Amino acid sequence: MSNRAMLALAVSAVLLIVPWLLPSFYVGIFAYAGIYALVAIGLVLLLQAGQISLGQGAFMGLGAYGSALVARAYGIDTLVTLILSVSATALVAALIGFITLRLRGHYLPLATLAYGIALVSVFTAWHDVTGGASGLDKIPPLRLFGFELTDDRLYTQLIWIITLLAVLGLARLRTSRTGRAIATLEAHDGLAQAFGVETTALRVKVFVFSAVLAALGGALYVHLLRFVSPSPFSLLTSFKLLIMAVVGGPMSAAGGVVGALTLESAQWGLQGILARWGLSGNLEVIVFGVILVVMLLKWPHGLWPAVEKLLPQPTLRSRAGEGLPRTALTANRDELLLRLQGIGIRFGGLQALEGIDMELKRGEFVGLIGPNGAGKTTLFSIISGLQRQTAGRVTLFGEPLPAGHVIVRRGMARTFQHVQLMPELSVIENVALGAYSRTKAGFVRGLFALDGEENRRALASARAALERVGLAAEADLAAGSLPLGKQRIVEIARALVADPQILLLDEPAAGLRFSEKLTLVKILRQLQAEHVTILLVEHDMELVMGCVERLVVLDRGRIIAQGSPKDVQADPAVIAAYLGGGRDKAA
Amino acid sequence: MIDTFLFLLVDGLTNGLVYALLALSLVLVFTVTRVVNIAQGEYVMLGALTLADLLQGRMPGTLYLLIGGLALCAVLDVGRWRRDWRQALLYTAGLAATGAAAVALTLAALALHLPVIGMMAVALVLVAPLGVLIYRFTVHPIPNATTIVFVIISVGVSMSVQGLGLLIWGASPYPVEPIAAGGVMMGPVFIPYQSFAILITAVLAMGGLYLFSEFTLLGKALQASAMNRLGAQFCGIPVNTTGALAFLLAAAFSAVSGMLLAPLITANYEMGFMVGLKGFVGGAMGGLIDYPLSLVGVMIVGGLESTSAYVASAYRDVLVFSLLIPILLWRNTRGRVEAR
Repeated sequence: MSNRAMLALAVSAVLLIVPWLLPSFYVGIFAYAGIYALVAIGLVLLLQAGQISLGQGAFMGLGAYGSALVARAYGIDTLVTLILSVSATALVAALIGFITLRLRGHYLPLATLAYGIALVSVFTAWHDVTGGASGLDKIPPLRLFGFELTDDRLYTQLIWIITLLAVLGLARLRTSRTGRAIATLEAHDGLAQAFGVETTALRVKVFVFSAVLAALGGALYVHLLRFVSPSPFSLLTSFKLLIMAVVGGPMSAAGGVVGALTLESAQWGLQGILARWGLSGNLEVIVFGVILVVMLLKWPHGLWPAVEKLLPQPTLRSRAGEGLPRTALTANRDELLLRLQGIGIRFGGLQALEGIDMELKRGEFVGLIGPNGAGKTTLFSIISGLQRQTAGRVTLFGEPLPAGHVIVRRGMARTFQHVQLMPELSVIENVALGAYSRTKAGFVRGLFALDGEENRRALASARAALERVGLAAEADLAAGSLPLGKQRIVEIARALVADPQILLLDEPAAGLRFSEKLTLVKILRQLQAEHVTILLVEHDMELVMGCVERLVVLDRGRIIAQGSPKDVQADPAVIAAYLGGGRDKAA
Repeated sequence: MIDTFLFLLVDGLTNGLVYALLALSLVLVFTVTRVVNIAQGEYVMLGALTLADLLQGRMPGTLYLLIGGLALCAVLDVGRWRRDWRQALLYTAGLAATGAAAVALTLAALALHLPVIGMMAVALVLVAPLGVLIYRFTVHPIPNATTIVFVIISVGVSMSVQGLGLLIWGASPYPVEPIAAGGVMMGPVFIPYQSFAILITAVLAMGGLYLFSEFTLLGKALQASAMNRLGAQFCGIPVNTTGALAFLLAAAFSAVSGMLLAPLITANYEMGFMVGLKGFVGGAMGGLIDYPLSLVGVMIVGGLESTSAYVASAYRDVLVFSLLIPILLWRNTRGRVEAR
């Protein structure tokens, strides 16, 4: 067992013993801190996916009222009511997620905010059922399998066990297939889709999971307090939960626990001070608001990185042994893989591409060149499914080009002109994202650590790819800490892990040093020998001319020349396009 | 029946126009700075309470906020002294002069017992600069942060400002005089003069913003920053100035809407947040980028609010905020234009 795991066990043991040592007044506070930590952990996961909810308090409320009212009215075992209320909350969250997460970034916070206020208004207004603003008492205690949990210390222990299990599960998820995919969600969708991630579906899953944790927290809260009223689930609670997540930081689920403990202590401390000054009302919100702003301005990663620095290194997940099986490619050089027919695209009044006909055959190495603004990047986006053409047809392996996230599954992978890595994750985790479309383990398997063998193989493939591109030594560094040239090579390794039959490279040599370019050329030649089909967009003419078999030259949205590098170099239209001068004559 | 309908129509229009000023602020701030400003409603509260103080002959608490903010500005820019002390001196003197001018203006206004309209102008001058200060503190340091970070920051701003409002004014409500008391019977319905004032102000504000954007250089810079921030920067447009300007104008519009709204309800420290949020629900109709669609949105919100207050008052907020769901569903059907 690693030192990190021992320490985690020791801390957990302390957290579980604490309820028995505290005076009874503080036991309750400690229990609430555990519940808030549980809910904040869900928000941390949401932050990792680049989203935020301002209605977690209301989700708690839904879980709480659902379980409390049903248990109180029908005397059903609270285990059943708990499952019912959590499932109902999950449904509501799925609905909200579905209508907001397909739209651009800023709707989820607004929708959850509005939903939260509306829901708390319902709790207050629906007097006959909920007891209105004054609430309802005589809520039954938690009853699990016939055993009534009325001892507060035991209950607190149960809360912390659930919270710690959630931390463990999410820490595990972070280094799983789904965790890597979640980390891509913060950036532009192009990256996620290029490796087969269905972004909207994954965002909804993350959001629903965070709501489930909130509902569970709310239900635990209400059976502990044995009294239910709207005020604990108000907007202020949602905001406090948000602050906990931000203070702890989005880097790790443990941040949620750190944030909850920090904020709860701060609140009790502040209320003491304010009371001594004779001030009443919720004045601590001034300080909370300032904390929130200052944290995001100065320490956007929260307190957790500072805590983590003091901890021993975590055990890395196994990457030994065989990787994923690779497809052996045939040497049939006549097989047509990709075909463009009459591709055109128009942006408003600008005809960016017109009448592009192009083919890629098995094992070919084709360079796509052209002066700036020729339409190379646009054509590349169309081929890789990021943009749809307004005219013409793209055929991949004999079928129409599928939706963006399916392309990689068919055997076409790409790199990006502007490097798209997840800077906080390690190099090997970034590379392992390439295996997303070749592996299956989903959210739940990642959470419950049921993905061991598959994840090992994905990491083994990533390790092998890194060895191949000469970056084995950098495998465990944060990807963002590498120089730009190496980051580009990491992108190539990631594309290789997708086991592509066609590899699309978008300016891979930009920013590379001479020695790195040599490595790149070596890798490309090796891939060619393995019959991988390569389409290369590049400005480094020496590299292009020295590598490719065939060149396609674009200028002003049209193909002006095709052929071997030698023929193209001698083509007067190409010379005119690059050097100007006799441009009109040549055209 | 028809009387009720007309009454609800007038009431809904009045509410809608108040929210329209908010939606205008929200769209302006979002397009220029990419900030989804949850805190926008707090300027409504500040405007209303500042006016309440001025009308009752008290030194408005906003003045302390303004002076405190200016002082914080000076502290944050302390590094300037080392780089260029002349410039730093000028800057600090400018901050001090601004503070002194605000105090002088307030004292003069209180001494002269200005009419309501005059006091509104003074309150506006006191509240609007707070927008610039908040821009300086929260957006200026991290211009390239994501939308989500700005959303969270604005939550922090909202909490702090509302807390400061509670600290300064306490929890009790303040009555505010309308510009002109009374009203007029138009057919079967009574329309207060204040509703006309709101209509005129809203039209003036929207028309003014339009003219400013179309016919002044600064306004065009504002538009350019809204269309493409980086591009505008490359054209030599100081995007920090346009960002601050957007916050200034938005704070002004929201403060005015607070001053107009306060006589109809009463002013208190937590009145702003809900008003801001209703502006959001309306603004969501236009995706926070489209002024005319947002206007349609807030009118629907205003109408629904009046109707539901009449039909099922306990569920008023529930109905108004649930409106976001059909609005977002409708935006979902608007094709993949705004899909990522």
